[in-house]
Amino acid sequence: MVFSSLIFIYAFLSITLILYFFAARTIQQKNVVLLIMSLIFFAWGEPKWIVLMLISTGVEYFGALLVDRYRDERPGVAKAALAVSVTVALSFLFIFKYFDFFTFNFNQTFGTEIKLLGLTLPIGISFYTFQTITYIVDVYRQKAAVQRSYWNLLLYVSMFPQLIAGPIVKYVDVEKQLMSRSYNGRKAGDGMFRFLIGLSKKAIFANVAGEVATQFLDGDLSEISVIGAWMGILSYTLQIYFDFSAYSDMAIGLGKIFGFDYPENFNYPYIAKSVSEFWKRWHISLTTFFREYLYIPLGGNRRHHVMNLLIVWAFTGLWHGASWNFILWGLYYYVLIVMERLFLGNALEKAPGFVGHIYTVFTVVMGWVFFYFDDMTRLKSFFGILFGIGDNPFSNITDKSVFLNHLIFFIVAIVAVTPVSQLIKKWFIKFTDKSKTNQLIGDISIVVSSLFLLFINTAAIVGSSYNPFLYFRF
Amino acid sequence: MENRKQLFSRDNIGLMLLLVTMFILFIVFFLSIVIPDKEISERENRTLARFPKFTFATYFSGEFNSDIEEYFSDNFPFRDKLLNVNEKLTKLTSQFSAGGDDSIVVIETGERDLGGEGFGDYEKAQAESEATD
Repeated sequence: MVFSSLIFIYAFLSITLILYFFAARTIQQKNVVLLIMSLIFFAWGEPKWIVLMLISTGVEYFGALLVDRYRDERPGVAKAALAVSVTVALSFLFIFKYFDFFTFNFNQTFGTEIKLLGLTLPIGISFYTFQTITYIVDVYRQKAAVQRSYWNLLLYVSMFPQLIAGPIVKYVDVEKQLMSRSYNGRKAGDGMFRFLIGLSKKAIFANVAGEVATQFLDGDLSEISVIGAWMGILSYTLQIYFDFSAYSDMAIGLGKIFGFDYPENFNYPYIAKSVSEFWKRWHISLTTFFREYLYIPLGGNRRHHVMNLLIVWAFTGLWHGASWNFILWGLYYYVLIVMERLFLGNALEKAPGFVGHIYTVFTVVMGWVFFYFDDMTRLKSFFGILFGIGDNPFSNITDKSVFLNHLIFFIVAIVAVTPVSQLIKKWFIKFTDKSKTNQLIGDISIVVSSLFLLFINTAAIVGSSYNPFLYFRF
Repeated sequence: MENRKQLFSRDNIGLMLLLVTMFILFIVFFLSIVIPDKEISERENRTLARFPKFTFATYFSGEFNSDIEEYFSDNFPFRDKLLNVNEKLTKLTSQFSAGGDDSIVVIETGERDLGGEGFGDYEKAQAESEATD
C-alpha cells in the first residue's frame, strides 16, 4: 500500500484518523491504535515477513536491556550484547537483500554452484534495520534511555508514516514523543497540508516526469536520439527528487498529524554548489546515519580519512540496492568528494557561483545514469548516446512532440525544485503577522488550497489507474 | 529564519482542516462501500475488478490485498467524473502540443471481445503507426 493510492488515503488513513482522534482517549490508547494500524500497513504487501520485523525488534529490545544492565558491572558483556544485536540486525538485511547478489557473483567468479535463495525483499527492511541500530547504539552510548516496553519500541520501529521510505528516524529523536506528544491544532493542520503537498509532488510531478523518463530510458536505446536521451535522464532527475522528497513530505506531515516531529530529509538538493553540499541536502537522514554510526566510529577525518570515506560511499551505494550499478554510483561520489576535499572544493569556492551550480547539476545528473541502469551494457551505451558516440541521430520527431507536450510541466517542475516555496512561505508569514484579519485570510487560504489539492490529486490518482483501452477522440 | 515555523495562525482553523479532511475521506470511503459495484466501465470499455475471493494462499502471497486495491480503485465513487477532471487538467498543461503525440492510443487485449469492423481498422492503423515509429 503506497501513500499515493486511493486505498491508503480513503480507506486506511480515514479509519486510522478516526480511531486515533475519536476512539482513543489516552496516549496509551492512541499508541495502541498507531501500532495496530502500522502492523496492518506493514502486513498489507506481504503478510509473512511481519514475523521478521517482530523478531528483529525483539533482538534489539533484549540486547539493549543487557547493555543497560551490564554497562557498569561487566562492560565486556554490554559490548558483546551490542555487537551481537547489531550483527543479527545486519545479517537479516544481508540475507534478504544481498545474499543472492554476492552468491551470484561468487559463483560467476569461482565457477561454484551455490544455490540462490530467491527471497523477496520485505518492505522497509533497509529503513527499519537502521532505525533499530540507532536505538541500541544510542543506548550503549548513553544518549538514549533503555526502552522497557517492547511495544513502545515496536511502535518506534514500525510507525507506518516512515516505515517504507524513511526518513530514517533516530530513536533519540522520538524517544520522548513515544510517551508524551505536544499537540495543537496548528501542528495538525500544518501536518495535513504538508501531507497534501507531498501527495501532489508524487501524484502529479513525479508521475508525469516518470512517464517522460521511461518513454526514453526503458525502450530500445538504439531508437532514441541524443536530445531524447538528455530529456529522458533530466526527467528522471526530476522524477527521483519529486518521488523521494514527496515520500518524506508525506511521512513528516503524517507524523505531525499524530504529534511526532520527524527530521527533515531534503533541503532543495539541486541548488547545491558542490557535490559535498548536495549530499548535505539529499536524503539527509541517511547521510546522518552513515556519519554518526559508521564514519565517525571508523575514525572520521582524524585517521584513515580517505579509507573511511571509501567505506562509507561503498556502503551508501550498496544500501540503495544489491547491484553493481549502485556500487559504481557510490564510488563515483567517493571520487568526486575526495577530489573536492583535495582541491576542487577550493577552486569552486573561488569561481563564480554559476560554475558550482552547473558542475553540481551535471555531476548529479551523470550520477543518476549510474543509478538508473542496472544493466551494464545499457548503462554503457546510454553514456555513449548522451555524448554523441554511436549512430543515434541528434534529434527526431518524438523529441519535439514530447517536449512541447510537457513544456509547461517542465517549467513548473524546474521552478518547484528551487526554494521558491520558501520565499512564498516567508512572504506568507510576513503577511499573516500584520493583522488579525490577515491571519484569518491566511488560515482560510491554506484550508481552501488543501482541499483543492486533495481534489486534483484524487483525480490524478484515479487517472493514473485509467486503462486507456480503445480511447477514441471523436 | 522566519520567527514562526507553523503556517496556521489559529489552532481552531488548523484543527478544522484536519477534521474537514477526515470527514471527506470517511464519507468517500463510506460511499465506496454503499454504492453498488459496476461490472463494466463504458467509458473505458472494460470489465471492472470484482471483490476478490479470500483464500489463505492468495492472502499470504499478497495477491488478495493487491486485488482489493484494484477493486477499490475500479469502484471508486465518481470515478468517471474524476477521470474527466484529470483529462481536462492534463490538456490544460499540454496546450503547446501539436496534437501529434497524445493521439497515440494503447491497445490492450481486454477480457471482453468487442470485435466489429471499426475495431479492426483501428488495429491496422495502430500497427502502421507502430511500424513508422
